[in-house]
Amino acid sequence: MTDLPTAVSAEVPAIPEFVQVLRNIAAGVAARLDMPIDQIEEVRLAITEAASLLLDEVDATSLRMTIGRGVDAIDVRLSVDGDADAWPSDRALASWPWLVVKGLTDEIQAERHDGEGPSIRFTKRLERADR
Amino acid sequence: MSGATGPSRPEEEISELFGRLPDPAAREELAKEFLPLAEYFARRFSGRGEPVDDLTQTASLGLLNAIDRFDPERGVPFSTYAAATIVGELKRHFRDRGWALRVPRNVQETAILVNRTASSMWQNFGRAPTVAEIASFADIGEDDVLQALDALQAYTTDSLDAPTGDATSTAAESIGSEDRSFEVSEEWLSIAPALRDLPERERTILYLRFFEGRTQTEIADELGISQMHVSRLVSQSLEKLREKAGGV
Repeated sequence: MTDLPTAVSAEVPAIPEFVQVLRNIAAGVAARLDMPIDQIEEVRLAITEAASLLLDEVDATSLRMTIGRGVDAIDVRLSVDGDADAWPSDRALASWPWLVVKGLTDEIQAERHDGEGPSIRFTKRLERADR
Repeated sequence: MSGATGPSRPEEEISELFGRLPDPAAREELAKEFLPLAEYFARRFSGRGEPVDDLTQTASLGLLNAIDRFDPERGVPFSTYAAATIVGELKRHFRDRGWALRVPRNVQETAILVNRTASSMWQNFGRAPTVAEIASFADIGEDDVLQALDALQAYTTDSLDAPTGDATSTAAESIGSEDRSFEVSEEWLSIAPALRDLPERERTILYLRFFEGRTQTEIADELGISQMHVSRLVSQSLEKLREKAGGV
């Protein structure tokens, strides 16, 4: 995955109610990229599912989102501050949320950066049909 | 609550009327006496997309229920009891129509406008419109469009698609969606057992979207329903699955 310049980063408490905040931020960024509404909705759904998987797998206190924005793609990275024994676990990779995020986005990766907890990163490319 | 909504008769007369129940005449007297209370709450719930007349009728029904169920022995003033019953009835009225009550008036109206604009643009363009396009078409701000789109995903699909007045599209949507059934692989169902509990159409949509990798537009064509409808059904069925899994 190529690194896109960071457009937004945000951190919220690692509880399901706050995922909505991240979804709305990402939708705002996607809209400014002129993404059609069906793709914006898919970004929202992908964030919800990815966050749900992370919160399920990891005992975390905060959930962080970084969005990189390119000319025709956005790159979303969700990470948690807790720790998991193995990341990504086989269970996570075979889970329903993972399958959904994979289906909604163009690229998906489970990562763990130094000094950080598990993260899921996905890229959504802008499809400009007949313009 | 202002004094205007309270009964005009002295307390003793009211108690006397309650003592005469279930006498229809006494019941009617009481209903007349407390009608301003029902009207007061009907007005408070107005401006959310429902006609005031309907709300007044709903509130009056709540009032009658309150009169029938009120137990003076419990020491709660009737107006307090009636207020709770009326509000409960009004809330149920909104719930039955698929509107979340917490959505304030302008958001809800904007949501209806955005839903219609986006649906027709989608159909005419043959692709999903962008937020900027909807905003300029509907002559509202881009943030309003985004907020409306978010709110739209939460509404029940039927209530939104039924009252558009666009008989051709809704009729077309119901045809062809019921009788088609797809072979859904067992392997796929085993990934999320809750898929089995979904209505067949939602399960089919998720299958086509996430197993066969079809686009929303392709699914809409396949099932003969609008793209907006497919989009909402995807969101709602994913949400149902998450709820079942106890997640986000």
